[in-house]
Amino acid sequence: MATTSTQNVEFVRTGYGKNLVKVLYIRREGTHHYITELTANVELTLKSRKDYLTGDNSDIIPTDTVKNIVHALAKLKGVLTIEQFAMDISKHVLTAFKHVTRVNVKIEEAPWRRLEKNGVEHAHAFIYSPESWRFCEVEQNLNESPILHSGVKNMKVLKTTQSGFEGFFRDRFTTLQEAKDRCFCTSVYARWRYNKVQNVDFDSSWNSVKETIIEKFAGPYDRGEYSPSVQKTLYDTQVMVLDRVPEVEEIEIVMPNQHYFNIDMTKMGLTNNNEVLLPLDNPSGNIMGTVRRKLQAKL
Amino acid sequence: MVLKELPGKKASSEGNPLLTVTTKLVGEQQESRPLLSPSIDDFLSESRIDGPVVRPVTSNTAVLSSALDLVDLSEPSERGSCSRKRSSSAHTPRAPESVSLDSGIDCTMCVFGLRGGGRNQFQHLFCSPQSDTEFWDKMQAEWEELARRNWLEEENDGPIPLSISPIEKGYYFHTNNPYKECPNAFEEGQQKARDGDLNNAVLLLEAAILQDPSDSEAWQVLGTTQAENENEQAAIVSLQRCLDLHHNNLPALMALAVSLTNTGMQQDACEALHRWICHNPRYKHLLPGSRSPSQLAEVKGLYQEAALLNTDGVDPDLQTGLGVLFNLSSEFDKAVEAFNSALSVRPEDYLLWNRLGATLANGDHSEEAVEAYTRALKLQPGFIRSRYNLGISCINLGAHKEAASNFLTALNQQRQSQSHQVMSANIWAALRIALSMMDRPELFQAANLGDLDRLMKAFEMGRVM
Repeated sequence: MATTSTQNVEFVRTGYGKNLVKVLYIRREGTHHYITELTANVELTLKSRKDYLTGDNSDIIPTDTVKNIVHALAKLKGVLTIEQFAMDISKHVLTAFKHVTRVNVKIEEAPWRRLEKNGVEHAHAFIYSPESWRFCEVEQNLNESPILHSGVKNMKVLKTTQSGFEGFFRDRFTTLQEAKDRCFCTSVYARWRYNKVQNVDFDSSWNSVKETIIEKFAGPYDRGEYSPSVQKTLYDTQVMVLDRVPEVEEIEIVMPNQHYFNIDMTKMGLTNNNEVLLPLDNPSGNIMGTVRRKLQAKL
Repeated sequence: MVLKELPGKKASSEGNPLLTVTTKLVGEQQESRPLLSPSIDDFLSESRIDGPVVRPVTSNTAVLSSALDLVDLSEPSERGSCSRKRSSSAHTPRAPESVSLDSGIDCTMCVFGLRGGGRNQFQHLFCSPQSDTEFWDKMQAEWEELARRNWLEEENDGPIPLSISPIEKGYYFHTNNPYKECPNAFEEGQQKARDGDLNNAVLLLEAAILQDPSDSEAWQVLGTTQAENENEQAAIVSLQRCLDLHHNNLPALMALAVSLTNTGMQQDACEALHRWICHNPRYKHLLPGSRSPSQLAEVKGLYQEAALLNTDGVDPDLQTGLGVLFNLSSEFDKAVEAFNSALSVRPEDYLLWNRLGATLANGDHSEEAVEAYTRALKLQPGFIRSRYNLGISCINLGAHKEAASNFLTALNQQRQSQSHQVMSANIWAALRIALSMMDRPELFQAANLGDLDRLMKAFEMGRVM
């Protein structure tokens, strides 16, 4: 019987942890309550690989403990923003243990919105309103500052005009017709990296980025803004974000192009002038880009 | 309140039980130290910008306790109406009564400035090896005071000073500062800074501040040193602290303006430069009576007017301000002129050479920038910021290997610290960019893991001792 040889095998990377740790955090200021519901994925990389190599578990911090750490830190430090909480978890793990070399924490926030009527906020009732999802990711090596990304995803927007697509490359297999006026629908995914992690108002930065994306997409409310392509709108959004939010160093945006096609009703004797459209979710176009600030020399 | 469970005023002859526990832990320490339940309290709370801060001792030198966090969620009614403690305790200098605790126990501290209608209070939480009972009494008192602070409180009375957000800021001091008790820490720190030993300079200056947090000059020098050390956030916080204590400190205002310019805070930088003129005896008469606006164009005009006054000689500091303003308005040629003018008076000033270089670089003159940086580094080889800038220019010129070498040199210099220094995140980020352009994926991966030794080996850089 052949024995497995480990001599021609080497590690590329290892990591382990707990996924989908969920908590609802309530902060009470008198009768006015604040909530944050989040889902956390925490991954650790240890100094030694003996757990993988020999089955020696003495270094392994159980994933159950990792879950407990998330719970305990929510209680002890509270959750003001998911970014700060992620950094708290990361910092705790790297400082409480001497043999963890790297931590990765991903957190997603549930989109609860406080009920409000005529400008009056409800003290403690919320409604689930998934018009956009907020998430963040912290990656930190031992003895280094954390690298923090925040993001927004599943923000679906649509506009019925001020979008076109012309002048594209044509070849033998191109059948697409040029369009001067089409619907533009996309589900925005944006992820950005911060160049500083202390003294940053993460809520305000996240809102700025989200609003900038919407602003660039929609344009002025009375007449909109023409988009010659998803690529152009995407790039313009990125430049605007970098301009407005100095803490953002780099931003990636992915915009799928969810198509709506005019339904041909001529066979029914009807002329459909782009009034009744067919939403076709697959296949969908997918456009992405990442830009960062040019490295600036420091005075 | 959980605080009551903590070891309080115990004058026990066996010493403080918590200390006993931790000394025991030190003995039992293995490579993989399990997280024991007492150390559920062990949280490094100094990073909590919104939370109270606490500094008891633990066996893990990097981990600090914040039992205080347990009371964060108290109802407002529970908090009572305790007046905020005046900073009187903060200003008593630390007498180095040295009852040294066991090895392996260490502390750090964080000085918080609390916004309060312009009043500035330093909550001075300080761990020093005093006698056990004194130490714990002090801790207990500090904890109880801080427990009453609600981390949601926003203090917006009074004009908001430069770049202060309602979120609290703090300076993050080093743990294990070997110079904590050093008698003339400030002078030595200043000297080290001049010598280019930025690591030790920072530690000494921090020690001086721990001994006397109201020493505005120490904060000022710490600020400028951290900027040279490519640690902009620390520089900004330090300089702001200095200005809180001494609002018309001209060098601090200028240095702050530079740092704010670097971080893209244009409006705040203009305000700092405006204040520099306001408080400058030579030029303050130029200001119109009423509070003049501090928009970029107006402030530039002011500085240009001021420059015209100097018929018999260039004021290098004024020219520096002009250089910064022209950088803000992207008029790089004029900025270069201003810095050159300043350099004509102070040709040995390495900061000016770096500023000239950075201006040239940001104006797309990378080759000339390299020359300027080289001059700066010749005058001051330990000038981390200039080496970082040099690396960036190398990238812009396509010399990725040289760029990486420069970044590695800087990181290695930062690493050679007696206390555990964290290396500049900027420099790591720039290094990763340089490596990504080199088509050496294994090196890029090493950079992602923070493996400085491996990278230095790859670039044939021996460990510089």
